Amino acid sequence: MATAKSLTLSSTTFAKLSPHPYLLANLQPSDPSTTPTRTNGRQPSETRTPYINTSSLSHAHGSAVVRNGDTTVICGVRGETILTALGRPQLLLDEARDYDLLVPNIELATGCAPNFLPGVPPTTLAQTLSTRIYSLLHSSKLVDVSRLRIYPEEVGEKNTGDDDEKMDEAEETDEYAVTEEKAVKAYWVLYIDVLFISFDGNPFDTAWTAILAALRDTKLPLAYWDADREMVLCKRSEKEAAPLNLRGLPVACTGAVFTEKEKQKKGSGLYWVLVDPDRLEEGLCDETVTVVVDKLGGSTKILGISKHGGTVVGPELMRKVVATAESRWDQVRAAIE
Amino acid sequence: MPLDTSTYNLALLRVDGRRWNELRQQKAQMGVQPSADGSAYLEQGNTKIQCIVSGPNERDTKSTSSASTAPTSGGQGATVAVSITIAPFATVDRKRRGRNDKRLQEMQTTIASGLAAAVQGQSYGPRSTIHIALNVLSQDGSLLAALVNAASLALVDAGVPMTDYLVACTAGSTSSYAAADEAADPLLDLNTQEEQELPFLTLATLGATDRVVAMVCESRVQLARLEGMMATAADGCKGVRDFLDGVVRDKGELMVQEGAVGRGEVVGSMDLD
Repeated sequence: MATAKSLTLSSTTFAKLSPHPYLLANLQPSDPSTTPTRTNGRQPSETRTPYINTSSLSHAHGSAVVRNGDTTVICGVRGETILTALGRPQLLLDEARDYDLLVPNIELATGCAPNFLPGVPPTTLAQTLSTRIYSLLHSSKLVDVSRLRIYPEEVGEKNTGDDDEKMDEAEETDEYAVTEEKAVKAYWVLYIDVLFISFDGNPFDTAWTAILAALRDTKLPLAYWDADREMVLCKRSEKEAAPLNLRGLPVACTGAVFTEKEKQKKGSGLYWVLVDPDRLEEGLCDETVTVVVDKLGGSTKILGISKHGGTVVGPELMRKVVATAESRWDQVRAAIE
Repeated sequence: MPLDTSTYNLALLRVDGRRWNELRQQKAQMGVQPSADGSAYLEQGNTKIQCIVSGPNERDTKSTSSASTAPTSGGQGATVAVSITIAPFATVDRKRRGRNDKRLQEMQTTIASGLAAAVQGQSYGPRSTIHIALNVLSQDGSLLAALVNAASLALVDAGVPMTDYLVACTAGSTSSYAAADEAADPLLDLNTQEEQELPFLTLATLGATDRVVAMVCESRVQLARLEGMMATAADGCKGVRDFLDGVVRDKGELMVQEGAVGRGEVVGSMDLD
């Protein structure tokens, strides 16, 4: 009996010693009566239900805490004003990009997982995430740039300035202000900071959900350009703070491709697409697909597809991922509203 | 600039409606991060801290690049490494603090050396390190004190042996030299507004004793006021210790109820009655 006992490993030891065969054994059980599941008990296309709490930060203009399984992120959005540089064209093709009005930043080095120790320079993952979030923010045209423009105050509603708050000192003084009445004098810049509290896989989807929820929660005070004082002023009253008009509700859905053999060529062997992967699964998969969809308004619109590594996913499989993303969209929408 | 706190003498109420010796509302939770060895979340008023402890594990010089370290048990025990991250949205004006910010490093060193005095590190040996990651989510005064308290709670959650809780509290003085009001009250547990206007100090003591582990005072204060401020802060530390102890005992009760630990089973020398 002693030898039999020494050969039996507990499942946690098995998982630590050889994670790949462990996940494979769960997905492909030797006993046909047990249903194949992932190590976390989910079906391959089953996602974790997100929980969202908004307006939890007092100092930010908008904030959200999103919990997706054991992945928890906090997102804070803060608006600051910048003055339009004089001499630059007033009509730009893409103001948000040219003036850099949306500034996302992802902080992973918080001790959120054993492999992300604090006090180290941003890892490749953190930088990649920031860049992907940045490009999705701009390419999805989520934020209506017209809400970020600050115009000179209209003559009719000129007030004494007693209840106004000094926001920004003007550096430039020019005659220009008098001649062009409705010119954009300043912009709101949205600093979008995402902090990972705990990390258990799928950072992109969770961070994006947090940003979406925080931007929906964001209310900017009514700002205007005061021509006399040559600075941007804000109305103090809370009533005049207006939410951002977000275009649509894009939701990201990531799947990781788990192959039967650790080094597998296309067209050979079994594979599974594990949607919303956790930390163990992410470590075992080389290939990931992310689809961003928006179903607001009835029909499904694809806002982005990105695929990294591997050669398994083809057009057929991509369609299946899009279908999973559609159900993910319903889930996130239910959590966000 | 007229001081808001100058109206204190009229009603003996502070800007947020507290009396001179009242702590702000405190909330704390242990074990908030499942993948960490120990974690805690602490709120003192609007100051909100999350702390994650990992280790003790083998020393890794690369990962402790910007963390401040302090050896325990005179170099014979584990090393305590502390690193602080302030979230960009934690303050009213968004400001990014670099990893090598000198003020942060100073706070890190204070916390590391303070905790090194409380941690019984000799059971781990000199080649091991206990990493303490502190995340500031919201900042409203008494930052250093809240960081110390959060770290203390997370170390308890991680099961690191300590002689007692390391608790900290701030105290300020309302009296001004010009007014010559000798009997003016010292104030306990300051918020940002009070910190900006009054001289204050942060005091860290070991448990409910008056053994001072760390004291930081960065403002000009009359020598005659110092003793009163220290006594007030030490009183506040007792209040904080009682609160933290309550949190730990509640957690212990919960663990007994959930069957994680048997009733009457003694975990180390900790008494879960």
